[in-house]
Amino acid sequence: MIRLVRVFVNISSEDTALNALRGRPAVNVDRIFRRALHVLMTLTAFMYTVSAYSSPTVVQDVKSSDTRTPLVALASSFRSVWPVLMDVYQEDPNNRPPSVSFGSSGLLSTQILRGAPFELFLSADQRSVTQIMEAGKTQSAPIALASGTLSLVTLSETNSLSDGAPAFVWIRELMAMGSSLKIAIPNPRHAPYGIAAQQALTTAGLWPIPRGSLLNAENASQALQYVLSGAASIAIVPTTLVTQVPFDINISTIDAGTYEPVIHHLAILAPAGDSARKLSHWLKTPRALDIMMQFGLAAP
Amino acid sequence: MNFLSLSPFIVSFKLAFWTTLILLPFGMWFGRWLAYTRCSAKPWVESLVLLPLVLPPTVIGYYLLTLFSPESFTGQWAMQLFGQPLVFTFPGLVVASMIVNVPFVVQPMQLAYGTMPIEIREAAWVSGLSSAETWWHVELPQVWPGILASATLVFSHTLGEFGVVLLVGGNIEGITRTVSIAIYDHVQAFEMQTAGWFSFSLVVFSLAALLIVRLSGHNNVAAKNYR
Repeated sequence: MIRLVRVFVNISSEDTALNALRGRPAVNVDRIFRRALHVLMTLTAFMYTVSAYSSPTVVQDVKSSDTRTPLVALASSFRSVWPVLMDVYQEDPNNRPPSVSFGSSGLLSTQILRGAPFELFLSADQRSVTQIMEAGKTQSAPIALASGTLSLVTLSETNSLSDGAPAFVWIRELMAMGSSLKIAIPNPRHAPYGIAAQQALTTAGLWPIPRGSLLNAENASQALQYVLSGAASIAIVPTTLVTQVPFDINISTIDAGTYEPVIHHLAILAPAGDSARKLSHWLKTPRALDIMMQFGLAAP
Repeated sequence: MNFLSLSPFIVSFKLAFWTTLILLPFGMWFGRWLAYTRCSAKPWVESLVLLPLVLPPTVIGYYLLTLFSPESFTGQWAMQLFGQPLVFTFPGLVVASMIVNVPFVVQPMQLAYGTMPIEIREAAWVSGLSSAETWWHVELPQVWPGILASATLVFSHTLGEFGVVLLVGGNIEGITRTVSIAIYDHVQAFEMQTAGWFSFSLVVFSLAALLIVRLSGHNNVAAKNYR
């Protein structure tokens, strides 16, 4: 049988004759068997994988000990304040730094509703956390953590807006001049600061913004990104995102009366363990609130 | 942050490894079936296989998120099978990534079997080899370039997959944050330099993976005939 196969493989390889003419050795049967052996090894590994994944031994332990790293979902308006908060939190060596996932409050709440294993959720609005609580995914009622304001930012080099100037007056003037402004705001469909931005623009009589001038960013952080990259001339973003950042930008706080305040909420989610609860307690301390206030947030 | 965290690389490579390993045998079997079948539903099956290629990753991600959700019937079933929910966990990411990669593993295999002259199989049968022996001794060496192409495509495509991983995996560090998600995350955090380094390393890895195939593919039959 082996001989038969050997003869046959030589026939089947189209290049054998050519190679023989060129004085090259015929196709090496050993090499083909070696290849086949590789495939066999792959198959074996495959069987192993299937058995490994269907057995509960390799399943990641999501709920057991309290020594694991807590998993925290954060609205992207916490981007700049969070590292500072965590530096202070870790001054106590008993405190474990959490693993974090930033996103827009809307996306994060969708993921939590679909079973994401987050333990804490710091949302930029009340709607998402209420929804999650009603779905029975929280351990206790969510609490208001801090309230945030909106700011209008532009790149310093590209315009003459001075810090503290009435933001919308300036936009209105530019729009009247027919300037092709691009305004970036977080998507009002799911980002809380986007909803507030839309309200503020409406109050100022600037909504709806002409088609082509409005850029809906996936979240607050991306709206700022658009200005930093020059894709947009103006962004309306959370004040906390642009406080104490090293970028060369002009910031003008938007009049707080022109939109509903954005209240950040903290929810302890169903999978939360001891270290997550410990972190949630710490976030409510005056020390943590003090840091948040340095970053443009206020007591709720 | 001036240093690159290793964990996204580990997650990415683990994901690419398991996806390739589990998907390859399926692709070899399914591609072969597609190449030889005379089933009237073939165009339907082929279209379904190609669907993940043309659908936006967010659409696939949305459906998978709904399917995998422990709230849904399928999610409950998967939870019993895997012992944990499929959303936002590594096994879930592997399953999602396998679904996205089906066209990348089936297409090259179907092509490899389709271009193999039928006479070779017939000759093997005439010579007294059983179907299994024919597959092992004759077909496998012939379609080897296809296997290699499938494996590389799946591996490098998994390294670069973004939309589905973000929706189904949820950007959790050390568990579901792959290199492509880490790049997105660093851009969002205004850490452009880190994002740049991650992007650069992804380019290098993907190029290396493709080069490996091209370099090892130089001994395939067609190339020799042209030489």
